[in-house]
Amino acid sequence: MSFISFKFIFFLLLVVFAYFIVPKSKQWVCLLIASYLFYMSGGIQSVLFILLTTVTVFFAGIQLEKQQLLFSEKLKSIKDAAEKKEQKALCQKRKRRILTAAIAFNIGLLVLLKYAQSPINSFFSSVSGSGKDILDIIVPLGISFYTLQSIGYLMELYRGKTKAEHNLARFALFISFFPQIMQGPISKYQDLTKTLYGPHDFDYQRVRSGVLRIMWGYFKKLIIAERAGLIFHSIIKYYDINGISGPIIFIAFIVYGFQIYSDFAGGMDITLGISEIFGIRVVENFNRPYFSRNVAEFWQRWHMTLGAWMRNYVFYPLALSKPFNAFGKKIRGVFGPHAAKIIPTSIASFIVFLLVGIWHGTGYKYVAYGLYNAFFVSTATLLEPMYEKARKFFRVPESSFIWYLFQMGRTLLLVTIGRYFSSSTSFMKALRLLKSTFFIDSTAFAYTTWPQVMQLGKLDAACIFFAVLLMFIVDILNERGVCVRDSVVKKALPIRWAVYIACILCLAVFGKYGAGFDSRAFIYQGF
Amino acid sequence: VKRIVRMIIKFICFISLLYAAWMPVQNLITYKWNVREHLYDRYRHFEAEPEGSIDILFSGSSPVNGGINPVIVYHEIGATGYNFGATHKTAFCSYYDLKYAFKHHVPDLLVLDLADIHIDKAPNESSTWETAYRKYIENMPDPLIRLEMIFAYQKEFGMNQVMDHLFPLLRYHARWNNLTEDDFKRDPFSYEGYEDFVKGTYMNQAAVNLTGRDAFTDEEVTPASDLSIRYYDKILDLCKKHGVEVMIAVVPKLEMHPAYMADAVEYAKKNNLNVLYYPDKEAFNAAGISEKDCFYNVGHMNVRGQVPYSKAVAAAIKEWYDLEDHRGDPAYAAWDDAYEQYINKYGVYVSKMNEEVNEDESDPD
Repeated sequence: MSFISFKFIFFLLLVVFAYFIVPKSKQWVCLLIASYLFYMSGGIQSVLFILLTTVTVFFAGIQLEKQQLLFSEKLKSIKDAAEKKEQKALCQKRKRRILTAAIAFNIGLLVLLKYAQSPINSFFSSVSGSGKDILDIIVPLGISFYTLQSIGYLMELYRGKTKAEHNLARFALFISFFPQIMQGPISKYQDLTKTLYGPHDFDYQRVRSGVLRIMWGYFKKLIIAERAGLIFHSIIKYYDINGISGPIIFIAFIVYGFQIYSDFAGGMDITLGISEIFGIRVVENFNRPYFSRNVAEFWQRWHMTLGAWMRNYVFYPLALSKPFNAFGKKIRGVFGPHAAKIIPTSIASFIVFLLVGIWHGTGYKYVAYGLYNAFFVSTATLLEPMYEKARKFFRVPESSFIWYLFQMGRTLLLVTIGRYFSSSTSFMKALRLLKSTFFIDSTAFAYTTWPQVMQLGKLDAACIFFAVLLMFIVDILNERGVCVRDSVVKKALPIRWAVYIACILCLAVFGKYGAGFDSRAFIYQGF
Repeated sequence: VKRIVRMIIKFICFISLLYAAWMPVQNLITYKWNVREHLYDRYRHFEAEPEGSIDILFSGSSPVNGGINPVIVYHEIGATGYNFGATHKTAFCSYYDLKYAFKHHVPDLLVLDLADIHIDKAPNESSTWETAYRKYIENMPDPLIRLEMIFAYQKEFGMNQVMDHLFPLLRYHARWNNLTEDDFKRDPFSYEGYEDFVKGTYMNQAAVNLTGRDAFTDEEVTPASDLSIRYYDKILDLCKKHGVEVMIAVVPKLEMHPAYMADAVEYAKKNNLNVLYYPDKEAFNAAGISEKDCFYNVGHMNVRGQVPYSKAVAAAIKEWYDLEDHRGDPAYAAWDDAYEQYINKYGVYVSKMNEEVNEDESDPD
C-alpha cells in the first residue's frame, strides 16, 4: 500500500480513529495490527521474513541480557580482580557469539533476498541450462531498514545502553511500525520506544500539526518530485533514443536532485506527520542537506539515521579497533602524527561509504556511488587547506555569504555528479552520461528543442519553479529557526482555514497522481 | 463533552467551507467532450417541467437527440415529451438516466433508440469511452442514483475508482494547464435561453450534402452486445414496473448498417414492442428525409431532418398508442408557446435549408 493512494488515506483514518477509541493501554496493539495489515498489503510472503527477523532478534536480545545478568550475579560473589576480569571476558565472548550469530543470520537474509538472488539464479541457470530461476522471492518491503534497525537494537543491548524487550508483540511493533517501515528513519530502540507504546491522548494541536506536516510531505512528493521525475526521465529517454549531449544532461541530474530531495523529504514529512498524530516521536532523518558546506556535512544531513547507524556501528568500531590502532601507530612512525590521525579515519570512512553505496542496491553503480562519496568525504579534510588558501588569496571572509554560497554550490556540484552513478541504470551508462555531459556533440542537439525534450509546458514549468521556490523559502526559514507550521497555526482562524483550504486545493489540482498517471513509488522505498 | 462538541462543529464548518471551495474548481476543471451538451442543466430543466406534464420520453444516444423534436411531436398529436438522448449514451447510462427521469415524471410512453446496441466498450479501453461513461455519472443530479451508478460501473467494468467518481476533480485535475477561455464561459443553455436545445433536443443547424452515401450497402456486421442487451432488458423491466409503454425507434443514420437495424428490430420483436424503422433507403426518402440537407454528419439529423422524422414518430405514436391530445387545453398553453418560439427561431431556417445546404461532403464534427 503506497502512501500515495486513497486506500492508504482511508487506512490511516481508520487506524487513527481506532487508536484513539481503544483503551489507552491497548493503543500499541492497535498500531501493531495496523502495521502488520499495512505490511501484508504488500504480500503475505514478506510477513514471513519480517517475522523471522523479529523472532531471531527478540530471542537474541533476551539471551544477550541474560548473559549480562548472569555475569552481574556472578560478579557479586567474586572478589578476586583477575577472576572478575576472566568472567567478564567470558561473558563478552558469549555475548559476542550471540550477537554475531543473530547479525549473521539477519544480514545473510538481507544479502540473500536483496543481493544474491540474481547471481544465484544466473549461476544455476548457466550450469543447468534450463533458463529457469531457482530463487524467485519478492524482496520484502523495507528489509534494508528493519534489518539495520534490528541490528542497531542488538548492538545497543550488547553495549549495555538499553534493556531487552521481553514482550514479543511489543518488540514486533518496534520492528514493523508502519509509518517508518518503507523508507526509514532507522530508529534506535531506546529513542522510539519512549513514546511508541503510549499512552497518548487525542491532542488536537498535535494532530493538526501532524496533518499539516503530512500535507507538506504530499506537496513535495506530488507537486515537485513527481513532476521533476517526469522531466528527468524524459531527458534520459531522449538521450537513449537520440544520443543528446551537453549541459541538458547535467540539468537532468540537477532536476533529479530536486526530485530525490523532495521525494525523500516529502516521504519523511509524511512518516513523521503520521507518527506525530499518534503522539509518537520519531527521530528526524532529513535536515535540509542542500545547505551543506561540504560532502561530509551533506551526508550528516541526508538520511541522518543511516549515517548515524553507520557511524555508531561500523565507523567507530572500525576506527577504534585494534588493527586500526596498530595501523595508526605505524603511520605515525612513517608519516608523522597528522597523517596518523587522518589516514586511518579516511580508510574507515571509505569502508563506511562503500557499505552505504552497497546498502542502496546491487550493481557496480552503487559500488561506484559509494566509492565516489567515500573519496570526497575522506579527502575533505585533506583538501580543506587548499580551499583555505584560495579563500585567503581572493580575500573572501570566512563568514561571508559568498563563501557559504560557494561551498554550497561546490557540494551541490559534487553531489549531482555522484547521482550519475546512483540514478543510472548501470555503471557503464553512468560513465557514458558523464562523457556526454562534458564532450558536446554539436550536431546532435539544438538548444531550441529543450522544452520538447523535457516534455514540459509553460504552465507546468511555472508550477514546478514556484513549488521548488516555495520549498526552499520554507527550508531557509526553517534553517533560520522559523517554523512555518507554527506561524500558520498561530494566525487568526479565517486566515488559518483559508491557508488549509488553499493547500488542499493546490494538492488536489497541481499534484501528479490519479488515473492516467502512475505515481512513482518513493525512491528510498526501492532501497 | 463541550470541547468535543465544539471540535465537531468546527470540523463540520471546515468541511463545508472546503466543499464550497472545491465545487467551483471541480466544475471548472472537468471532463472535456467534443461538444458542450450541458447535461446537468438539461436534467434540471426536465425536473422543472410541471408535474405529470410529460407524456413521452425520447431516450437513446445522439441520433435520437438530434432527430426527434418533442415540440413538433406535440404540434402533430398534442402529446408532450422530453428528449433524453445524448452522445454515446449506452444502454447502461440510459438505464440510470431513466431511473432518475421516472423519479420526476413518469411518462405514458418511452420511445427508445437502440443506436448503441453494439456498444460493449469498457471505459478503460480508451479515454473517450471513459469520458462517455463519466459524463453521465458526473452530471447525474440525483445523489443516490449517482452512487448506485458509480458502484454498478465499478462492478460491470472491474474498475476501482470510487473516490475519483465521488470527487471528479481528482480525475481531471491535470486539465488545469489546458483550460481555455471557453471553459470560463457560462452555460448558454441555462443562461441564454434555448440556444442549442429545445426540450432537450439538440438543434444543430449545419447541413452536409451526403447524396450518394448509401448506408444500406454497408456490410459491416457487429454482434449485439450482451452488456447492452442486459441493460435494455433492465430498461424494459423498469418501464414495466412504472407502467410505461415502450416503442423502439431506429433513428435514421447514414452510417446505419443493416446489422444495427436488424438487431434493433429483432430485439423489438422478441419483446413484442412496436418498432419504427426504414428497411431501405427508399423508405426513409419517402418519409421526407433526404441525404442532401437533413444531416449535419453521417450519424445525426439536423433541424431540417428532425421535422419529417418527428412527424413520422408522431404519426407512429398516434397509430399505436392512445395518448391524450392536449392541444387547446389551457393547462398546456406553454407547449403552444414553445412551438411558436420554435417556429420563430427555426421555421425560416428550416424552410430555407434546401437552398443553403453545404456542398462540402466532409463531416463537420
